[in-house]
Amino acid sequence: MVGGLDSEDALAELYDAHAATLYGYIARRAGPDAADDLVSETFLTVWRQRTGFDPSRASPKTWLYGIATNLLRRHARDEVRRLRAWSREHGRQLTEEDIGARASATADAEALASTLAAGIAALREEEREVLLLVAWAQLSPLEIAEALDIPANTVRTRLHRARTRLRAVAHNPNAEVDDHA
Amino acid sequence: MPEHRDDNTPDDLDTRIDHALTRIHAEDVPDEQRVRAVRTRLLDTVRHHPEPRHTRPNRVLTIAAAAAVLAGGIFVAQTVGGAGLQPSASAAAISNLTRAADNAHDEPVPPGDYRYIRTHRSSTGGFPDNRDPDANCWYRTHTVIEVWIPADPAREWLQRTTEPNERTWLRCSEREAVRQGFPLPTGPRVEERRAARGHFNGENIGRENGRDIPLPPPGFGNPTPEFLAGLPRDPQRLYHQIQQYVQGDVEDDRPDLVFDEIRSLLTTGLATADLRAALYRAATYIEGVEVIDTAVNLDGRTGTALGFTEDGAREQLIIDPATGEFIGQRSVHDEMPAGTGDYTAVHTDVAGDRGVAPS
Repeated sequence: MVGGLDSEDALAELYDAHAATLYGYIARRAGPDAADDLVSETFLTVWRQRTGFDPSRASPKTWLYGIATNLLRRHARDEVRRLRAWSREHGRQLTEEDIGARASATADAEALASTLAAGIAALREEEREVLLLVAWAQLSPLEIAEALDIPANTVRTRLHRARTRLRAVAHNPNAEVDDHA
Repeated sequence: MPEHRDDNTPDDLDTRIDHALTRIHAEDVPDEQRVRAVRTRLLDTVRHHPEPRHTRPNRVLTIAAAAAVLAGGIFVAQTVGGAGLQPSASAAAISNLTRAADNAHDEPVPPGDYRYIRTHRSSTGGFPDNRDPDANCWYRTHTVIEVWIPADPAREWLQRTTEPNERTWLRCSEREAVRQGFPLPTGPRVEERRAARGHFNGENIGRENGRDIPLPPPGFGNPTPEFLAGLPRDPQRLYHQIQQYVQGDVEDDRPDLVFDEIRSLLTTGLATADLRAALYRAATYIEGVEVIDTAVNLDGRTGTALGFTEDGAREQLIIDPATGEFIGQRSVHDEMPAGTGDYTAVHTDVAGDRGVAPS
């Protein structure tokens, strides 16, 4: 599907190639209730702007994720609230002993996930975006750079900061992490 | 007794983090049926509904280019677009910054001695308040980070981080924190790290997807003293070079990223006086940059500030016009509760002994 989204068949092909993962990414960030509309709006936007698509600057996939991520910015408050709620529902406080002993792998993963969810909620939006594009959409830093129209270096820096904060939160779930850069 | 920070092998923790991330909101991933339902609706819309006029993709970040004088002596930039690169701030503000640039000097570091940089940071921490789904408990805390940079920066640096673990509460309290199952560390905690060239994370900048990301070659992504020495001292050329780096092939102007990169260069501890002078001048070309006449760093030292605001995030870099030193940052966000924010005071000196603060 190089260059031309020139027919409904081509749009259907694009959908079949990417919608499942994209839907998952959107639903996890904005919630299942908002996801239907956001997924539709993403593909409709791509369709309506198809004549302006420049294949030298992005692939259809990264174009999709760029649009989706942009749309998701309107849902930032919901996203943060959902993450905190998830954290509370799934969590118990992770203690130093838990990290050391690593009792049961499942309980440990669950507790860590709960802690991280709260940590992700506390990230800057720009850091959260790149982290989740990797974790929930499996984009590479280069693809993220294309999708968000920013340099690959900026993507790496934000990823690094996000993961540094998460590592610190995993060690000490109660303290806010400073960026000592 | 100060608590020693345990060093979990990054391998293990990063893998566990990767796994844990896949769990979060996993139940929200849709089934095939739902994905198919949206497909049907999408194609139906495309076939049967007329298209609106072609719209440009949203510009995610737009900077207002209005000029105004606000109370308190803040001069907001009047942007001047067009071919020539014109400084963005007003004449009076530029003169303050020019003074800072002209006065910039470094105390020489004798061989065997160290550049000493002490950053006092006051920041905000918090956790969800379980009595109210929409609220957080917030506290302020502070940290001191000291760095000893050898006269030859290729040799071993020392970084000491001291956390007194003293808090003041903006919302909730120490007792409430314990009650809600979030007891916070008490007692001072000191961590020291040593590394040649200041590469405290080794020769990697981190890990992603289970692999190390190596340090890039010297450049903005890895600002070595040699790289910094090679940057142009002409402010316009410096501005363009930074802009080129942060924007890459992107056409849209990203003044926020340029400001951020200047901040990053100033906080390396390696920006010599002539580079700082050029950075202060280069910053005046940033569209939307402000120069604030009087700003106070965390320790009460007064200076002039370069400011940038976007989407409610207000950043200031504070400079002493008398000495050209970078003396701190202020960072607040309009959508955060009053009293939250990040503030620093930076003190630069020369130390004779590593690990000993100059008196």
